[in-house]
Amino acid sequence: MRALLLAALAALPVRAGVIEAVVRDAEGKPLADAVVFLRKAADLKEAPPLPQAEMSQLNQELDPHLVVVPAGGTVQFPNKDTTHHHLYSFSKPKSFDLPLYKGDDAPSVKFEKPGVVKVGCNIHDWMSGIVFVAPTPYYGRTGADGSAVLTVPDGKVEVSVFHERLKGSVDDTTRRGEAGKAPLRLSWTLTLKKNPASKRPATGYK
Amino acid sequence: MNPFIPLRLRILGAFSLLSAAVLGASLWLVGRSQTAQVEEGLRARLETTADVFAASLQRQERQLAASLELLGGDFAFKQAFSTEEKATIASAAKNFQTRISADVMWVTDEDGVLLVDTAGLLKTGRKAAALSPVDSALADKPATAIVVLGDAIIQVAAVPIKAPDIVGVLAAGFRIGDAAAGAIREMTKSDVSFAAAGSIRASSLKDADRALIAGHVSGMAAGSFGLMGPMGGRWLVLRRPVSSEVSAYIQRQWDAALEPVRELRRLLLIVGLASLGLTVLAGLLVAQGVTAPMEALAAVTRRLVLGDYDARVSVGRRDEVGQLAEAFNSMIDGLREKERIRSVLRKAVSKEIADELLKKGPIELGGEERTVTVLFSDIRGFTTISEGLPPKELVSQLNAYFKRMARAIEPHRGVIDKFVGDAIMALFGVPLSGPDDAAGAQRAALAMLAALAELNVERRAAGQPDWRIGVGLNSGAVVAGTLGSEERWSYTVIGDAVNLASRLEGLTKHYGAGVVVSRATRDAAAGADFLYRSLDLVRVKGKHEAIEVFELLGEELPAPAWLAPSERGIVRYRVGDLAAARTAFGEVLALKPDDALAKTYLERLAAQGERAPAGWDPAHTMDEK
Ligand SMILES: [Cu+2]
Repeated sequence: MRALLLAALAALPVRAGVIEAVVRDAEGKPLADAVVFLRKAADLKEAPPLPQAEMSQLNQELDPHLVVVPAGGTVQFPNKDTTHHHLYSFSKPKSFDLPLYKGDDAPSVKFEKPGVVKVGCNIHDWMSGIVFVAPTPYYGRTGADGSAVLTVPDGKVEVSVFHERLKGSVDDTTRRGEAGKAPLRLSWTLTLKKNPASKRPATGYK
Repeated sequence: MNPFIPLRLRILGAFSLLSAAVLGASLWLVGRSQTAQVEEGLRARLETTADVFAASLQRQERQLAASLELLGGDFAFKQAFSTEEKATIASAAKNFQTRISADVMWVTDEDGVLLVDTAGLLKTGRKAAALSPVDSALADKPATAIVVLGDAIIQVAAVPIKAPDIVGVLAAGFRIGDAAAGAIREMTKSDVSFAAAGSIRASSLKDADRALIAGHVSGMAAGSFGLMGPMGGRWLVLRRPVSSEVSAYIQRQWDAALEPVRELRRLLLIVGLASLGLTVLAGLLVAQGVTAPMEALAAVTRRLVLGDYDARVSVGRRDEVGQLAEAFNSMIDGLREKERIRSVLRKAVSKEIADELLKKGPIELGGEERTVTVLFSDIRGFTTISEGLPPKELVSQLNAYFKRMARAIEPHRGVIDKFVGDAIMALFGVPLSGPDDAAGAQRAALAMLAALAELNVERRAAGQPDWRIGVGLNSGAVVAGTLGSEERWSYTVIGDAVNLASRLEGLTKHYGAGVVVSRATRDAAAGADFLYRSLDLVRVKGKHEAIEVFELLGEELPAPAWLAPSERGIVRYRVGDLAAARTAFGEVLALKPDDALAKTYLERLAAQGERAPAGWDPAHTMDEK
C-alpha cells in the first residue's frame, strides 16, 4: 500500500494538492487502518490507475483483513490454504458468491459501487474481511502513527474517514477544505465500537 | 368434708383416665409423626419436581439455543435474509419453525426491529423490546429468556444472523403451556402451574382445581410452601421462580396424601377405644372385686349393729378378701357367742361375774357335769310374814332383802341361779369352776348373815320385826346347762347335790343354826380357816348313806368354850356312849343355856338308856320337807 502511494506521488500532476490527515480514537491514540478518502473528484483523468487488489485466504483467515479499492476496481481472492473456502458477501454495494474453491480458481470480483462490502466464508463463520470501495481514486490509509498523506487535485475538497469499528455514519466524518500547495491538515477523533472477540474455535480436542 | 365418691367410681375413673391419656397421647404422637413424615415426603417430591422441571427447562433452553445457532448459520437463510423481502424471510423462518418444532420464530434486522413474527404475537416494524434476548444476540451473544407475551409464557432463544457481521437476529420460542405442565406431571406425578403477574397462565390441573389455586398463588414467597384449597381437598404447593416474572407452582394433593395417616388414626382410634372399653370393663371387674366384698362386709356390719348375729359374709373367694371375710365371719361367731353368753348371763348372774365369765371366751353350753357348791337360803316363817303384809309392801321389803343378799353373794363369785318366793338359790363354780368355790360359798353365807343383821337394824328402826334366815350349803357333782324353751331358757344346775343343799337349808331351823354345811362343802374348803360345829349325821329319804352336817360359825374365829363339850357330846353320841354324851351336852347347856342343839340331843338321849342299844344308828333320818 505504501508502495502504491509512492507510485502515485511519482506521477504527481502539476496542479496537485496535499492532504495530511491524522486519525485518533476517543482516547487520543493514533488509529491505524482508517481510510481517508475524497468523496468527489471532478476530473478523474489524472487519477492513479486502478490497482489490482488482492485478499487471500491464509490459515483460514482473510488476509489482509481490509482491502481498499476505488469504485470500478477489482479484487482477487486467491486461496493459499489446503482447504476449500466459499467466500460470499450480501453487502449492498456488492453481493457475490464464490462457491467452494482452491487456489486461484476463483474469478476476480469487480466492485462498481462505493461502500463497505463485508466478506465472509460460508464454511468458516469466523473468517471475515472488508473491501472498502472508495468513491474516488483519492484515498489513503493510516499507518500505526494514525496519519495518512493524500495527493489530490487542488481546489475545494470533501474528505471522509472510514474505519471498520466506526460508530455512526461515515458521512458524519466529512470535512471540507481547500487543497493546494500548502498541505491541508485534517484530523479526526473517532468513536469506535468495541473490538469483537474472535469466534474462531480453538484447534485440537477441547 | 370430702364428698362421698364411691370407691368403684374412683377405681373406674383412674383406669379410664389412665387409659384415655395413653390413648390420646399415642394418637397424637402417631398422628403428628405420621403427618410430619407425609409432609416431609410431599415436600421432597415437590422439590424433586421443581428440580426436574428446572433441569428440563435448562435442557430445552440449551437445545433451543443450539438449534438456533445452527439455523442462524444457515447460508441459504442468510441468502434469503439478504433479499430483504419480508415474505421470503418469513417463509424461511416458518420453515425453521417446523424443523425445530418451535411454537414461534422471530427475525429482526441489525437494529432489533422486528421483521417477522410467525405466530403474530408481536407487531412487526418496531423494536422487539419484549424479546429480551434479541439485544444480547445483537451484541453477538446468543441468549435465552422466559417471557410473558399476552397470556402465553414462552421460552425464547435468540442468535445473531452473521453475514459474516451481525445483520439481524433469529429467535425462536417454545410455549410453556398446559402441554409442558402435563409432561412434567407425566414424569413426576406432581401437578405444575405457571403463573405470571398473579394469574395462572398454564397448568396440568383441571380447570376447577386451577381456579381453586388461582386466588392463593400471588401471596406466596418464592421458594416457600403453602397449603391451599378447601378442607379435604387441599394442595401442598411449592413456588419456584422461573424468571423475574414467571413462577412455577408445583402441587400435590395434601389431604389425599394424608388419607393413609387418617386411616391409621381411625384404626388406632378404634383399637384405642376398644382397649379403653376393655380397660373400663377390667376396671369395673377390679372395682367390683374390691368393692363388692367391702359392701358385703358393710351390709353385714350394719346387720350386726342391729343385733343380727346370723349375718354372714360370703365372697366365694380364696384370696386376701376371702381371708378377710373368713376372719370377719369368725369375728361374728365370736360376737354372737359372747352376745349369747351375755344374754344368758344377764338373766342368770350378776354383771361382774358375767363380764369375768365373758373374758374367758366361749363356754360350752348344754348339759355338762360340774362340781359346784349350791347355796339355798330361806326366810324363816315367811308364810306368816307374807300373810301379815299387803302385797306391795311385801314386794318392797323382799326387794330390799334380795338386793342386800345379792350384794353379799356376788363378791364371792356366786351366781344367783334364781329367786323363788323368799328363797335364793346361788351357785359357786358355774359356769366356771375354781378352787375357792366352796370357800366362797361359805363366805357368801356368812356375808348374808351379816347383811341380814344390818338389814334388821334398819327394819327395827322402821318399826318392822326382825327377819331370820337359814342357809344350806352343799358341794357335789351336778349337771349344769341351759334349760327351757328356745325363747325363754335359763342356765341352771340339777342333781342330788342341789336337792341336798335345799334339804340342809331346811335343817337350819331344826338345829337352830344359821348356816348348815355338808361334810363335802367343809372338805372342799379345807384350806380356809372356818370354824364349824358338828351338828348331826343326816339320812336323806331314799338314800342309804348318812351325811355329816355342820354349822358354820364363822371364819378365823376363836372357838367358844361351849364348842369343845358339844363336839365331845356328838362324838360320844355317835359311838353310843350315851352317858358321856349326856354329860357333855349338859356342860354345853351350862355354858350356853339356850343352845338348841344341846337341847335336841338331850331330848333324844332322854329316850335312851345309859348305853346304846345293839345296832345303834346315830344318824337322823330327815323327814321334813
Ligand atoms: Cu473458508
